[in-house]
Amino acid sequence: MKSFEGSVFDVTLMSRILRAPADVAADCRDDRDASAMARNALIAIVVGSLLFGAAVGSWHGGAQTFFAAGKLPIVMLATLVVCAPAFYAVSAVFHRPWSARSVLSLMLVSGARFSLVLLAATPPLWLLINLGASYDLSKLAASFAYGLAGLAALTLLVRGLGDGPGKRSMIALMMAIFLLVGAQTSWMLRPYLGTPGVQHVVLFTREREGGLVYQLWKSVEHVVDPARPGDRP
Amino acid sequence: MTLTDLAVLYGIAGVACSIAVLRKEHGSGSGTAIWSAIATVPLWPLWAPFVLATPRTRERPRHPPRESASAGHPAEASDRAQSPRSATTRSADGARARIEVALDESVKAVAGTPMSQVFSRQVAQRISAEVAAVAVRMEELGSLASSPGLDPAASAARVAELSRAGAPERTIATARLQHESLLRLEKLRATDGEALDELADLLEALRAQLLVARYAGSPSDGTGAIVSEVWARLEGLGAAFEGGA
Repeated sequence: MKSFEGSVFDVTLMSRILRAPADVAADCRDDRDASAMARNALIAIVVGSLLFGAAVGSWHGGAQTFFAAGKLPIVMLATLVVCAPAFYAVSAVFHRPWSARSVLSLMLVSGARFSLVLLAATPPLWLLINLGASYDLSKLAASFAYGLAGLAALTLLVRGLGDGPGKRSMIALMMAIFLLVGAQTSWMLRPYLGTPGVQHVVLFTREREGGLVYQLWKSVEHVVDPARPGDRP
Repeated sequence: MTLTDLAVLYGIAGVACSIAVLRKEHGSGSGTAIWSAIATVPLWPLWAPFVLATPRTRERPRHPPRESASAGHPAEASDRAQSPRSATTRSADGARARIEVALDESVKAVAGTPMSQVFSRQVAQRISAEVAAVAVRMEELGSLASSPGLDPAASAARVAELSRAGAPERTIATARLQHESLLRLEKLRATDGEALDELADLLEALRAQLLVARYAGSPSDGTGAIVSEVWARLEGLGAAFEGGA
């Protein structure tokens, strides 16, 4: 079902991904218009994460805006690429022997939902940064948007799995895989916001910074108690 | 193996997939094939299955092929005309035709009114697609019924014959199992046919409600309920399809 026949991007599909995830998930399972869905989902993933990345990078400004805008779509796509075989295998193990096309389209539309939520979160984040939000607050706000987007994607994925044996185990396993791979991929390609107190912009950081969870915890500490001495310059 | 080695291997696989995509879409002769091939290089694990793999989607012809009653021996043609498959196909076609007309007229009835949000052309297309899928399933089930060795009447006769001949219990049990399975197939087909008929009735009622709403100038109270019922029936059809597929 396309409202803009022949157009490159199907806005109606995006609307269905947001408003009728169960419908879209059923279409994925049944391999209906899978190619068109995959193409549109890929476009949505790239555009949504690119703009969100630009908003995140605008905290530092300059080249960092472009670096973050370029890196975030790579993080998203790399996560999906790495997770795709795992998702296929896990669904087969849990009595869902779907075709690769079905599994991939389900994963891609979930990714598209993720990116659409990121896209929706972009203006508030941009506004927050423009109003002079601190490094830590911006980082937490971006992480919150990521979490929200993850929940939105998860709801579509859960509906796509349908009822059947091992549904909860499968969801837990898939979440663990996506979280691990996503976190590691994004950590490898950091920084996105830039480094506080450092004027020059780097494409990749190779310093030891204690891991993603540690850094998020440090940000929470700094937001709660700005006077707290930390390991940040 | 370093990250660079992995990236090189990934790239080689991407280029190979890209060449395969170009070869497969050689006939299309459009820029789409080139864009598709370019996208395949970095995204081959995500994109190549959609371009290279054959979709397992069920064909949904708007007018399923019908067997020609005039083909072959007249007696065979007559048999086929009386077969469950032909009866089912006729029934499914009749219900589908009613549904298509009701959908078309319903969409026309709500055009330019606030009810067009409730019952848009997209909604009608979706219902039509679901109905087409059920019709294809009925066609498949009908084809099975007319296949050699899958006729319930023949399997019933076989069970009776084995019982009369005093065949071993194990042989009779196998033949009985075969007969019961074929009866279940027949029941599935009948259930689908009934569901389509009920859906057609419902959509005709919806069409009438929408016409009332259009000419009365205000949405009728029963319209929302019927639309909900239509979706519930469609979900039921989908569930039957999933269960049977």
